[in-house]
Amino acid sequence: MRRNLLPGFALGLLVLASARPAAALDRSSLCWRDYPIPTAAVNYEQAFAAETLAPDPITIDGKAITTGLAEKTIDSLLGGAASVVEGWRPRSDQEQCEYLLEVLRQHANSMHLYRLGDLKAKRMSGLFRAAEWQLPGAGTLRAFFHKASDAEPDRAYLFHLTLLPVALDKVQRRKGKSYVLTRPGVPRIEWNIETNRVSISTRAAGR
Amino acid sequence: MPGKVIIIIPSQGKDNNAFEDTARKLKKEVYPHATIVRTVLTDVGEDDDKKTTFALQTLDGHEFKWSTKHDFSRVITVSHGFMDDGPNMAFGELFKTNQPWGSKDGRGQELSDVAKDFWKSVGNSLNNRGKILLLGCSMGASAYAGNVAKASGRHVFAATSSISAGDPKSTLKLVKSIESGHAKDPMQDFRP
Repeated sequence: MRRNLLPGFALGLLVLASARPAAALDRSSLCWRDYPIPTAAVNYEQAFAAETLAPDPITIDGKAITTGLAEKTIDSLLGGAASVVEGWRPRSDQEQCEYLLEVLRQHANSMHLYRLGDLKAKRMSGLFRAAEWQLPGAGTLRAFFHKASDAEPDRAYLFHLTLLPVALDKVQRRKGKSYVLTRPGVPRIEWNIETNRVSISTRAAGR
Repeated sequence: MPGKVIIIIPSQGKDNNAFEDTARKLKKEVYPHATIVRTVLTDVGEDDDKKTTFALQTLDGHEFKWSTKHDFSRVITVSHGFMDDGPNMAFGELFKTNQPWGSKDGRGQELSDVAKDFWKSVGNSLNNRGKILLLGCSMGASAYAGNVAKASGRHVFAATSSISAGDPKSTLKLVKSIESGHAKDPMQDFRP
């Protein structure tokens, strides 16, 4: 479960980042660059076997968990309350850009680089939170939430799905034109690379 | 389907074999008259004066120059890339810049002089109905693709979010959608 928690060092940096006074947008900051830090080219099979994914959506027995949903909605879809990883904290768009850079340092591959790059382009500011759910037999789902102000509804903007690791040779590419990876056993888990959808099915195949 | 086509791929950096695979499959299945060319980046100068230059070569090692080439219908890049500085022709390498046709001062607002010259040359080599396809992540998510359209005077198709340009199957689907006149999401048409 090593990957389920950000190392303390990173958390420390995140707290420092959020404690700074709001700063104006600093385009010279490293975080705004297209390629802010060296990252590894993602190996999809390896990532699916034993790394943290950033999918959207995740479907669990047909129920779709997508960005834009509120934490309470995800609670009800997953049938249980989340545990809090980070409580609500204010961040400016500059601070959020630095925060995303710290997340990238924890997962320094091209999959996270491009996903986080798309997010930083939205220049979100306001209040931020992270929470996670245990998915029995599958792993851990962490969701990152944002709301523009206290009065606004919260919405998930990023998911981290850390599946229980399997050996690389257990990951297979499904036959067909689409790039879909599968893992054996129950629950059945598939990752469509093209749509970035992860499907988890706890029901027996061929039901 | 279009006639003369140039497909530009990196020769350096991570995943360059995957991009070449995509380029070869594009030539085989969509653009039978395509010429595949590779970029070669080189750093010249010292310390603060260091600059990254680029050259283009055909797969058999011959130099490729825009000035002697005309009437292309498509110019396509297949590479890593991102929203502010465009195609990354040496992902993970430590050149002064791996994005040779990037924005001015890396700020993402307007093209650098080198980039303007490059895309203008590309535009001059394309016929009136010619198009540029930027295949890679998010090059249409900010100002980049629109600036390329402006500099080249041609339509530019680019993704507004991440795509897997090194995966031939999914990339061919996107390209075929553009060629059928209905660009599939996240590819978007940027007009000059």
